[in-house]
Amino acid sequence: MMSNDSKNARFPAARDICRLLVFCLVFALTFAKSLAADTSLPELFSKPVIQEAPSAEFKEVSSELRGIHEFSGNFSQEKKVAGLSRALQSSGTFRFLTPEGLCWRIRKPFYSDLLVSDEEMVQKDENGRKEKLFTENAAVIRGFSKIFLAAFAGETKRLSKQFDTFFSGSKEAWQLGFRPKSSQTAKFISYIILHGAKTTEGLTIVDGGGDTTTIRFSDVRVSRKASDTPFARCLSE
Amino acid sequence: MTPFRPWNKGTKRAAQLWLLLCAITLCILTALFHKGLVLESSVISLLPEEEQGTALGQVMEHFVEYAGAHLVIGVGDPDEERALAAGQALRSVLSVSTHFDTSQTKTSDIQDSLISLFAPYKHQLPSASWQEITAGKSDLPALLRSNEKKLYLPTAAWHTRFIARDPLLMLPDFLQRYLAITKNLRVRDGQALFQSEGKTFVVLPVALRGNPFDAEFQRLALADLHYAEEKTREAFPGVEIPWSGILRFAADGAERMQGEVSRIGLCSLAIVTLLLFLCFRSLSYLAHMFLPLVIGVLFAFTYTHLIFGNLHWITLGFGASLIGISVDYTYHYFCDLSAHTTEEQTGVLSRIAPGLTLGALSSILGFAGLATAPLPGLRQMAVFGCIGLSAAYLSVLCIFPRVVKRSSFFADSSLLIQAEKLISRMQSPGSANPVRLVLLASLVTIALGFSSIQSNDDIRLLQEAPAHLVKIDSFLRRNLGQSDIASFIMVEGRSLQDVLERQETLAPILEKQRNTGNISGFEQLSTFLPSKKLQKDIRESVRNALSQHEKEVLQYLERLGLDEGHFADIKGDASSDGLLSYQEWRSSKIGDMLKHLEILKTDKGYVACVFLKEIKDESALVNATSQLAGIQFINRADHISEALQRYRAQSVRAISISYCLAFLLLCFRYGPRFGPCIIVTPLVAALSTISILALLQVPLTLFHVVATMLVLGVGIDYAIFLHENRETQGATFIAVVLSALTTMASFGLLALSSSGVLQYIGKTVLLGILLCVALSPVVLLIPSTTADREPRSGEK
Repeated sequence: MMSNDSKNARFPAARDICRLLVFCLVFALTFAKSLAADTSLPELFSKPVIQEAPSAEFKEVSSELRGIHEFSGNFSQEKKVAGLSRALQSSGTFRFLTPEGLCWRIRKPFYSDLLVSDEEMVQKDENGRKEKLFTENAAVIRGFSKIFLAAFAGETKRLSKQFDTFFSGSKEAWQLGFRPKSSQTAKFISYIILHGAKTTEGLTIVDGGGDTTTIRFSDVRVSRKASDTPFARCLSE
Repeated sequence: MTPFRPWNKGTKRAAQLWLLLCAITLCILTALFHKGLVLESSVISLLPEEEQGTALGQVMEHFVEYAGAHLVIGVGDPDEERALAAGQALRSVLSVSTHFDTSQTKTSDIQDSLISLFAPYKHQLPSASWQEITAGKSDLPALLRSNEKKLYLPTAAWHTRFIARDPLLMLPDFLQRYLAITKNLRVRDGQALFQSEGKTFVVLPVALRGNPFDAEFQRLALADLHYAEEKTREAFPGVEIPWSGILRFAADGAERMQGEVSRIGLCSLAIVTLLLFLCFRSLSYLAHMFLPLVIGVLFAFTYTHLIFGNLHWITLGFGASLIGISVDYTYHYFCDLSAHTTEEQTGVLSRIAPGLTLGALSSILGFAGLATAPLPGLRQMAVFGCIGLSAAYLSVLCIFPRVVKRSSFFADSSLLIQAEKLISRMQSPGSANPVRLVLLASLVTIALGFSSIQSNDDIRLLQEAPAHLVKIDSFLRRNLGQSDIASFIMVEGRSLQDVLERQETLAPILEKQRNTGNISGFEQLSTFLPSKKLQKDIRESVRNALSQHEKEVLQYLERLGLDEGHFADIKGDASSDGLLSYQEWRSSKIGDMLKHLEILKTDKGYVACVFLKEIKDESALVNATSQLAGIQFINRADHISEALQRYRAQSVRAISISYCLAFLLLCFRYGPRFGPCIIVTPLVAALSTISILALLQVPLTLFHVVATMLVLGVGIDYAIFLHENRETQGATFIAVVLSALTTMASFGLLALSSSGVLQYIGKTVLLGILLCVALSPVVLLIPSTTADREPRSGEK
């Protein structure tokens, strides 16, 4: 019996899961304008990485990226959003620490700090007021954050589980591209491109709706050792 | 020698008619089998009937119907890729089954539904940011600044999607409520996953295409599921596949009860057969003995299923005890034949019919007494018992005169002689009389034990779910962040809007409980559908804010690259008078997905549930919510236990009345000399049984109490038979002892059942009947005169 037990029977787990999946897809679909953008894809995406036999250049670049513990510097970001007649431009500093996450500090056009981790996304304004941008329960958003963080860290192995990997260039000037393997993920991320020389110099994310976020890094500092500065200070400084 | 022909034309017609009825019943049973038997194994059926039709009853009925239609299957492996592949393999195999629906809702439909439902009302939705404004904690310029910052974030995809259509971003903020599912889950490629014990589990929600309590559906669905499990394990050795749902508990309960019913039934049958064989030593005769039993079970099974639309396994287990009682009529028939010469045997029916009828009536009344407790489960047992005994009794009266042709039944006549000697000893005066000693011991037991009776009506004593299933269910529930339905809050109101408004009043209190850690979350309809009052309030607040901060809004739009037309659109929207209704929400795809939160109509108004997660301190919740109108915290176990306690008290009163009525009836039939002597047998036996249980520190429950009704119904027969057949005391006493032994064998086996209900009834009846048979010769202590046995005037 769901004995009382059977009654205790049982809260409809399936219902929650259905909801979860449906909203995951809803979330994805809200960005899905057109996936038939293959024709406008950068040339990089004609150069897939064969996982069983990757090129020597790819192996070299990915092993360089893999060893990075801390990655920090300045950024400039441009977002092109459908429906807005002008691009949203911002700049500031960033600090990325594995495995903690990303501390994103916008200084122009206003002050705003953002902490992105696997678990949460917290924003702090110039008055020190903190706001959780998404509830910790937002599984869909968390999935997106994980991809974003993996891209930021250049974690090719982690990304390759969900994305087909593309590579062009050499250690001196390279481009890494990622396209979702599943149509579900493709509905909210069309593709990701990382480019760099010795380290990552820039990142482009095109979402399923066609909005483009282009980030360029400068004054980049890379550390392969654990940092002395605790990451928790990101929002308290 | 005159041939033994105890029948005449009348009995022949009765036998034909009865056999015709048996044939019709058999046809009905075949049709029932063909249609599919519904065998329940849930304690739901034992729930107080009072709940049905009440708000709580409706809530539970709605929930069970909804929850019963789903299963959750996890597929776990240390390697996430392997877990995903195994999950996909399991889904593929299951998708072929006609008993499961593994398809997911069409996302394009859901997307359209969600956006088209809420977009027209976006400026009256209680987004978190706007609620701060209405609470005076923030203002519109601050909201605009916050929105702008969100758009600049590298992870702002969720908000940028809406900015051109909803510059205040009220819609995406509100829709976040729909995205908030559970902490442990994450999504990969549209697939829900959670991590536990070093493994990644893929979660597959599956809908059932049938009734989980339908025995045939259970069998077929489980076969498909086990096949899918097997195929997945073959392809992916070592994967873990935990699954849970009402189907699993129902099937497990049914399987266990089926095994138990078979064991009890077979053992009971074996003991009865052995006893009969020892007494009568004739196989052909055994066949006669079981005829009433088979017919009794046939009638009871068929008509109880027809009346209730299902049969509970507990009823079948209880029904197995009928074996012990229904053979009583056969014993008495045979014993009477054995005690008379061949010439006298023609009068068997006229001799035993009055006693047999009174005995059958009292037993049927005893079973009917079970129905005094307003529990559908017990009522079903009562109906099963009444029909079964009636059919067995009628079979003896209608068929036996046609089929029983032997004139002597006892294999050993010394048995009769010994029985008569024993009866003589029991009637002897003096303190060494064993009947007097038993009576005295019983009275002492009552005196000692009655004052120490303690009761316990906790429904948890009846819990039967096996630990391993509960463990799997808890594992999935914990990781999926499921609410616990053992405790929830019920919100009632005069109207639909009343319920929503009361939930909105409740929300901040529950938020506080969450913040203090007393609960980890809650789920209620008003989170997803604001009341009309709240919608109006927010729209008014948006209108006021726009007129106060027009300049700031225009600047904000300009900075983003949106033209002034957007401002006019917002103002126009905020001035409209349309409100999102419950009906509109309910008829959308979203309403269908959140069906468990829907508002139900009751006789007095409307009701909805608030589901709570991981409650730590129930009393704090009760204190926090007790002052709110229409809001009631429900702990299902406590609620049912309180009801059981009430019903126990009611049953004690009902049973006392039954004993009084039986006493008056006996006094009317047997006069003031013998009436009290006959009633004293079941009365002292029942009180002694309760006292013995008390001395053994067994707490008294409703089920012990209703079982004393059976002690009256069955045990009273013994004294009646002994008194009615004083001329054949020896044979009658043998019949009484045989009856008691078979009844005790049946109920004794019930006492070994894993079902608490059957166990309590079994123990009580076992002890009660033992004492009844020991006390039944009390009636023989008073010598009978000829006048006592003469029929009353007008009685034939």
